Amino acid sequence: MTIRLERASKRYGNVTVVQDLDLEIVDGEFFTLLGASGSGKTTTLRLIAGLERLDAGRISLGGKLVNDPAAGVFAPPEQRGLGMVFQSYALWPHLTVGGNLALGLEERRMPRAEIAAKIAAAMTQVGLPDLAHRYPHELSGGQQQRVALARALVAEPRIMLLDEPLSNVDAAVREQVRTEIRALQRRLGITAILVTHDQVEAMSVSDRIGIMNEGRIVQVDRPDALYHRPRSAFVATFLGNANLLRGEATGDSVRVGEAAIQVAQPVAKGPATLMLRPECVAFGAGPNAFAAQIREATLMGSLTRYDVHVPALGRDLRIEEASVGAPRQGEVSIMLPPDRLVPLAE
Amino acid sequence: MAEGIVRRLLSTFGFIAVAVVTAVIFLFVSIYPYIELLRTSLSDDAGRLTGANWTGAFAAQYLLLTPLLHSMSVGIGTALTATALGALLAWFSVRTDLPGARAVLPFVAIPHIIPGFQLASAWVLIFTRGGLWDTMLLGRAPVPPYGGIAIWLVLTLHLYIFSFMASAGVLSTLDSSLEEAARVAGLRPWRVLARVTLPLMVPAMLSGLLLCFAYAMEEFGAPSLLGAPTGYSTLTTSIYELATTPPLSFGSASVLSIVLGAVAVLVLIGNLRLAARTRIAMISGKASGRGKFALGRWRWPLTAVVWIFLLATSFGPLAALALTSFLDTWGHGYGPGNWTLARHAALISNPELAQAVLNTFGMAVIAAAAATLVGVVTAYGHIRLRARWAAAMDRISFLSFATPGLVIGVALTLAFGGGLINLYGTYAILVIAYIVRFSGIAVRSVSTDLARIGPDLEAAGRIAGLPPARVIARITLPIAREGIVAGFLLAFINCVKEISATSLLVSQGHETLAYEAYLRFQEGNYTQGSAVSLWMIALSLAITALAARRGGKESREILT
Repeated sequence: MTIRLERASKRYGNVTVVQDLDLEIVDGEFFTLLGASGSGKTTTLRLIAGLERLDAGRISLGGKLVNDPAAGVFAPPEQRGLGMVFQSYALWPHLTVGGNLALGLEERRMPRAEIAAKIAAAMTQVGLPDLAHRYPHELSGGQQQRVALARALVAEPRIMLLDEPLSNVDAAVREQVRTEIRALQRRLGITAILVTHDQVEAMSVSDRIGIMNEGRIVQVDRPDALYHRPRSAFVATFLGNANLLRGEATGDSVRVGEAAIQVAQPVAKGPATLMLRPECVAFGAGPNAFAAQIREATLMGSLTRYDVHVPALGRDLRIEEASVGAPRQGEVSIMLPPDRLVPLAE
Repeated sequence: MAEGIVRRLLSTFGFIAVAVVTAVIFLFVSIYPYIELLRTSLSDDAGRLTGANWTGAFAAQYLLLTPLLHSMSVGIGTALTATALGALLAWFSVRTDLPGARAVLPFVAIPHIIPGFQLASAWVLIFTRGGLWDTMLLGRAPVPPYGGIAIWLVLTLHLYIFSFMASAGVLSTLDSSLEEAARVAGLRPWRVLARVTLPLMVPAMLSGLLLCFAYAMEEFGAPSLLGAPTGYSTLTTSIYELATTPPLSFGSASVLSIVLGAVAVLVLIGNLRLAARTRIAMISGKASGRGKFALGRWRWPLTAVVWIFLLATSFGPLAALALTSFLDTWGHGYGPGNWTLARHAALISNPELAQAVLNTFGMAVIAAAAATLVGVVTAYGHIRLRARWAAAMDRISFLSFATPGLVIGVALTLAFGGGLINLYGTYAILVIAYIVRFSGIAVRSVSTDLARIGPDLEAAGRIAGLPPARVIARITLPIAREGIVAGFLLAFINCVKEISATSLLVSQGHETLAYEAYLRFQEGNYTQGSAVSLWMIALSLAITALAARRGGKESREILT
């Protein structure tokens, strides 16, 4: 089911938490809102759920308008037919797992036998077929997490909202559940929106990611495109490490310090910033090769991280290289591959 | 150097000596009276063993069963209405967009801070024939001034704070995503209330129910002033009758006391167990200010109802007592022609009342100081040393606090009314009664503070070279100061308001203000009773506010 936000804005008092947000999420897509805390990602999710009301703009789900303050339209959450997993899981402690799954179905006056069948199916989907009679506090954190997922899916919604669902489980469980959520979403063919501040989590499950900052979406793209072709310094540094080279563009090269750096595609004349990921810097000769001194080498395990000083550029660069043997030392030659230098918007 | 060691040893032994003396005396006055109570219930007038008191009490309906039935009716009735009222108000104030919701607590607290017998007197002043209600041309009073129904309504107002606090506690720590999850699952707001919020409140409401029931059963002042005119006797008023009106029958009084004490103590222990279980069941506690229930078009009508109720039940009694305290003669109207300051002046000029002022402050200060000492010794021994004697003191101080004052009064009369230690008719027996009744308050207050101080702070003191006694004096007690001061203030104010044990143990020249006020109301001297009450309430409100401020985060607990 398609989700569309048009110029959506939300304020709390004087603070604008979501500002003029335009976003379209297509049917069957796994979309992630990624941002630091306070960037407005959770509020955006809550607006879609109907737990918050827009101050301005429109939201429609599957072509149906659900919130438009100008037209006085607001569909409360219970009319939106969504599934949602909360950060705290929000499992009702006074009900068994089965009771948690049944509550919404009972509200729709579904026959008992049908409810039981749906609960069994949902619990099987999340891999906990035998726990329906237990109470939430009798379960482990990972199990509670799966029950929350089962509860979100039991009514067979077309949209599933995930509000930092993995932040309360430990690292090993997190990776496993993450893969399962993704597989489940693909199998059921539903639209999913994930809110997270974990970039690895976002990149590993999403079809597309929207990066949020100060109430706005700064870039929406596929994970690989965001990582390798960020459009701004904010996105480049938010997703992983980046070397940012500020200089003056002269057409087919950019002057940084005393060096003229060759780029693969022309850059508009004037001040320019080039982004280069640490793992894209190579040791050796070739185009854009410079003499450098290794200041510090840190073995990280599979990678070795170097901080090198490049006199020609008048600055330090960070380099990551697959670890082979002892770390390099002393004077080296480094190379900046032209096709890996990404010009950023100023 | 040698002198230093001697001083250190002395201070260590001094601490131990104080602790041992405190513990021995406290345990003696808290346990021995109940042995006497039990012995008396099983003895005849000549001291021979007999079951006649028990069989007699169960055989004569007027003696035990009728008062028991009345007490149960008042207890259950009060518990139900107080629980419903408290939970409803808690929900309004914590979870809805009711205007002024945050300011509700003081208004809920006032009818509780006013002692029960004074609230009952205010009730009479308002609703009796010729009282404020019909004089103010409001027509016939809608509720009876005396009798079982009056007791029930007065105690509901006096006690619903317990249910309010329990429910508000749960509601304000309730993870609001529990309710949001139900909305997303397809439940409309009212259904969320019925299927999620209310079920989650049940343990807290049950706890409030038990507290209100026990305290309603224990209450003496209100039933004695409101029940007597219509012959509505409860367990407490019957015990008072048997122990004060000739022919005295301490055999029967002790039977009734044991029945009343057992019911109250068992219910309060049950509540404690319940509270411990409830805390485990509430797994997540991330409260969020989001998602207050919108009352919609009911918002303003409900605001009017809630605030009229709160203002009427808090300022109503205060206004009635204040107005009456300035009247020259009750029943001669409320106009300026009948106004006087004489009743207030009497607190100084009337030798009996002036003596009562001195007695009240003297007894309350001594008893509160002793209770605080018990609190410090018990809390330190229990929490730091994990000593068995301290665990016993902790439990006994709680049980004594749970025991109705009248039962303590009967037990102390039997224990110290003659024989080896004869304290009958003395100042001291009242002080002992207050220490026994209210040490539990100080124990709880100090324990809460002490439990928050990590043992590392004391260990660091030892490493720095301080002997154990100096660590207590220089580190532990200063850090726990807030709890100790709050414990003292709360014990003090409870002593000032005490009426039930006092009414049995008081003697000529040793009257307290509360007792003087109670007597005046009982005699129908409303104007003087109101004047004394007004000053007591002012003192109570001031000290409660002070203790609540000192207590900081625990301030909500302090009110109850």
